[in-house]
Amino acid sequence: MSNPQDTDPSSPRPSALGPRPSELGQQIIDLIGIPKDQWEIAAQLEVMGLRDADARSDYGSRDLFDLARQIHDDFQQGRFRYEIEGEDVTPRVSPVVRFLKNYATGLTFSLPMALQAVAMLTWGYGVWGAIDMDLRIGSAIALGFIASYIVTGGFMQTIVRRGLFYVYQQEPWLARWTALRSWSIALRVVIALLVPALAINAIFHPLPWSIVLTAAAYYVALSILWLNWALIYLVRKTWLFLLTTAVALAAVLLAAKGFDASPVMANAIGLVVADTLSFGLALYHLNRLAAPRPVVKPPRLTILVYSTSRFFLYGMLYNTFLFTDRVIAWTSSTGREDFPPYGFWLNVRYELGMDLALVVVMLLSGVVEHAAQRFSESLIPAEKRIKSIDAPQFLDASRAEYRRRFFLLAGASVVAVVAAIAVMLALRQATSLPIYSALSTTTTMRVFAVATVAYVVFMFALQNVLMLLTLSRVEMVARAVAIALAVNIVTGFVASRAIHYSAAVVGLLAGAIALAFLTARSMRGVLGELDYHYYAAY
Amino acid sequence: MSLSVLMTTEGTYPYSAGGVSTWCDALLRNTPDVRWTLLPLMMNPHIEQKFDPPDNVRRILNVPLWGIEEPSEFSADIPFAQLYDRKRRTTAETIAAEFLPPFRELLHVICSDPGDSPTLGRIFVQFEDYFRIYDYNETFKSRPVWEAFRTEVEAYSQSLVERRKIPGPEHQLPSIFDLTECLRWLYHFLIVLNVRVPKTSVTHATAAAFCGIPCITAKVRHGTPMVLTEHGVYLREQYLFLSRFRRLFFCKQFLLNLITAVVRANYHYADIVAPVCHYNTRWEVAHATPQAKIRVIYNGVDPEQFAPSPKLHGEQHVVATARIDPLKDIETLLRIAARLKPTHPRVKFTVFGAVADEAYYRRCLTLRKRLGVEDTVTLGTATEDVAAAYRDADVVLLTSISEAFPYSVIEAMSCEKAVVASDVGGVGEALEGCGVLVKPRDDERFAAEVRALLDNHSLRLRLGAKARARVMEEFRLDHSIGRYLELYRGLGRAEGQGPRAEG
Repeated sequence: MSNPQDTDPSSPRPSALGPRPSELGQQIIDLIGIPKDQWEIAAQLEVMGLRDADARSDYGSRDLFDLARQIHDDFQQGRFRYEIEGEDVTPRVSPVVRFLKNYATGLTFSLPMALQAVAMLTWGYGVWGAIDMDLRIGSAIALGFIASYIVTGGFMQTIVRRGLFYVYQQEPWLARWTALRSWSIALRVVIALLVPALAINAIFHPLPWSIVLTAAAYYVALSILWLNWALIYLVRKTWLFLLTTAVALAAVLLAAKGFDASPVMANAIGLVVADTLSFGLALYHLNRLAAPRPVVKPPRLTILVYSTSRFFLYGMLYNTFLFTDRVIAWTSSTGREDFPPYGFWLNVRYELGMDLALVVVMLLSGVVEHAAQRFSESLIPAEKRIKSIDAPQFLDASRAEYRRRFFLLAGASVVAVVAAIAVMLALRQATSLPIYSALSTTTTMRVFAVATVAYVVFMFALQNVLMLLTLSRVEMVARAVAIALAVNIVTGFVASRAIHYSAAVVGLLAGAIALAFLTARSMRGVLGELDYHYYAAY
Repeated sequence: MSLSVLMTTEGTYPYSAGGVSTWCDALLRNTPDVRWTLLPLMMNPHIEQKFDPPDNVRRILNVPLWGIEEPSEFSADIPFAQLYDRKRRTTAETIAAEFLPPFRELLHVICSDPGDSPTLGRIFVQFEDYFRIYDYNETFKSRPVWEAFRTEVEAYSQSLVERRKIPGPEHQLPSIFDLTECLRWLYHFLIVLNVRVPKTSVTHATAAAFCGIPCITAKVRHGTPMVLTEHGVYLREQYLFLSRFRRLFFCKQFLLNLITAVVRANYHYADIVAPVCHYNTRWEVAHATPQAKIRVIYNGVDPEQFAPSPKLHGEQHVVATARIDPLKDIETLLRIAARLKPTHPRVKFTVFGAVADEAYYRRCLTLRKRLGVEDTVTLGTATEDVAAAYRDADVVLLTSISEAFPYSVIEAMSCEKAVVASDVGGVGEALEGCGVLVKPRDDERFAAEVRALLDNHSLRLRLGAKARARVMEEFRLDHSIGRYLELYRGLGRAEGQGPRAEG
């Protein structure tokens, strides 16, 4: 429907030149809310098209500034009504729906793991690895997998953190540019690191070439996959992790079952599919985020490296922490049943115990994601609501919120542990499973028990880590992870050499306890001055 | 004597188009004997250049205010090792001992006494000295700075609550979010203090804004003479911009206090305040600029480039060169076209100018449709050849509700065109006696004046000839450049005479 004022050019329109100053004043107050002073009103008068001549002829003022001063004086006398609307009403979301949404986001990180595990148990194949592989190849894959995870950990953090920085700065094309540039640098580093690794093997011969070359191939292919996933994380399409895993698994199964490809060949096909698909999807979404531009002014490399170095360090240490115990276990011969022929030799019983314990990580990752999301989402509304002189109230509320999250995670942990035990018991009943014999060993059960507790403790630490990273307190996190890693290594090494190789898992537990303790202490400090930490997180 | 001049810009040259950038480019290009250093304050470091500065610009010191994690990301003049040393040196103790005292003074000036320009100038120099030894990021993001900021600002807002009943504590007392935002803004706006500026004969700030800070510190430090040109009125523009912060009254108040303090310091330390029209002087004088400092230098155009020439097409054509922006009041132009359509159905209107405000553009398109002038008015087309756009015009129209001294008016005058313009800003100073001035937003009067000119060829010719003569006499580019050179030379001679002059 058209506005009659606009269709008839001769009809009167709202004019700044109202007959009385009070009407004009009210008009301005309605427009700007609370005026800071008379100058704000003067600026508005001018932009309404009023001139000194109008102020004199229509309002009896000396000039516009004089008219503005009169209006401001009147405002100070309370002669105008003013209304400042509150914050925009955000659509009310049921807490359950919100939890489920966040939980689903958290699951996108763990579901690929779960899918791999199910595929391995059901069909005997994963994207990397297969039940029928001999230990020599299994060891090579484990070595390649761990190396890829550790080497790319820092780059993944760099890609995500710097990319998100530019996304928040509303410079999406720069986010795309830095992410792809970091990706390409990372890939070169990944490949370059093969040179010293191969050289060391050539000089000292710690492992046979068949293992080293297979490990190198898996290392490169998996590194590309992790780096691609970092790009996917940047564009917030984490469900694509599951999609790429599923498609790659389908390719592996087709190659193995349909074309009788060897497990390594089937894995190779699956990894090429996973790498290509994930990169294609990442690039597609990055291009949707922002079209590439030819001219870019990159920041100074030294400063860029410096400003992202803490995130790099954190990423590398964090990924190292996750797999240290396996490396320690698989390089120890103490109490080992399978008499390792080389310095590094995969042990299925240990791996199986660790994999079963991962059930708690899968189930709790959504809870942790929800906690981190809510922590981040509730900060700004609380900061807007609470006056700075009432900061203690804000801090108390934040502490209470933190405690709630802690207890929620504790409750969920009980459920997760019960679920993990149930899964383990169910699998032990499945006599047809190829892993049946390994499942019933004491080693597997011991590793499972300790690792389950370790992972639960680790999830508490992870919840703290994510909250600290929300506030850009990466130096606190990196320090905590470094100490926890040291505890993990020392405890695991001593235990695995003095007691039993599988006691390396105690290192993981000790490290997780250290990480949970250190991050909880950091969180306590941060929550005690959350107003400052939120300010400094820019 | 060879002159060296530091020119500082903010959000304009060489990174965006518009009147200020056109003026800067003309000044730099037409002063080949001056050695220029250019210091542009820019929104972020990734904006593409719209202008290629000439060769006499020896150095460009880009200062991005946003889009960076470290202020040194885009400065190449300090080695990384030195920057790293600064970070290591910056501890809570050094911050408390060396940064907090001037920082508290700064907050006092911002909150309570924005007119204390001598103190502000001294604080800026202290900050510059401090940031040559210590790190900007580490300092601003430190706990002592946050605590000091919170304490000072809370005390200020409490005192306001006690003094003023309205608007009351609900709005006067800052929320934690208000404090966070304000200190983060301070961090960004003061980034320029992190830059090392070479010593020059004269400094020239192109706005009474944050870009004036290096000129102020050069004045305090070396006594370097400072010229300040105001194209628009920065303070007024900021008041208009921040009026949108309806819900964040405290932030608006804090930012406007900060901006007022910086603007007044610019006026205080400038040896010459050279606005582009007398109209601008109203705000300058009202903010403590002595009349004796003010020398209006009008913008100039190249009469060869904007020369009269025969009209290309037969149909009558009303032309406006204006970006699509609410301040240009394109809606009034549309109403003028609607009023003329019944009597002059063949007259075409064209607005040459890029879309600056997408929402406003859509509003204009809707209004154009409602008024039934879609086939009459063409909107939103930028042109590279402005002179050609004027050449095809019978009448040039300017409906702005806010202007300083617009190039569009003097360019049209130089092309010998009859101009109808709203009587705002310095437009009257250009057009008085050789064009038609109309009260802004009065589309009825505008339409009548345009109609009268379209119907009277000889009147158009007469006004056009007078306008051209006026340009030749008062608004020539070479005259304008000459006046700036005179200023530089006059002030440059005094260079070095007054160490650490206090303005």
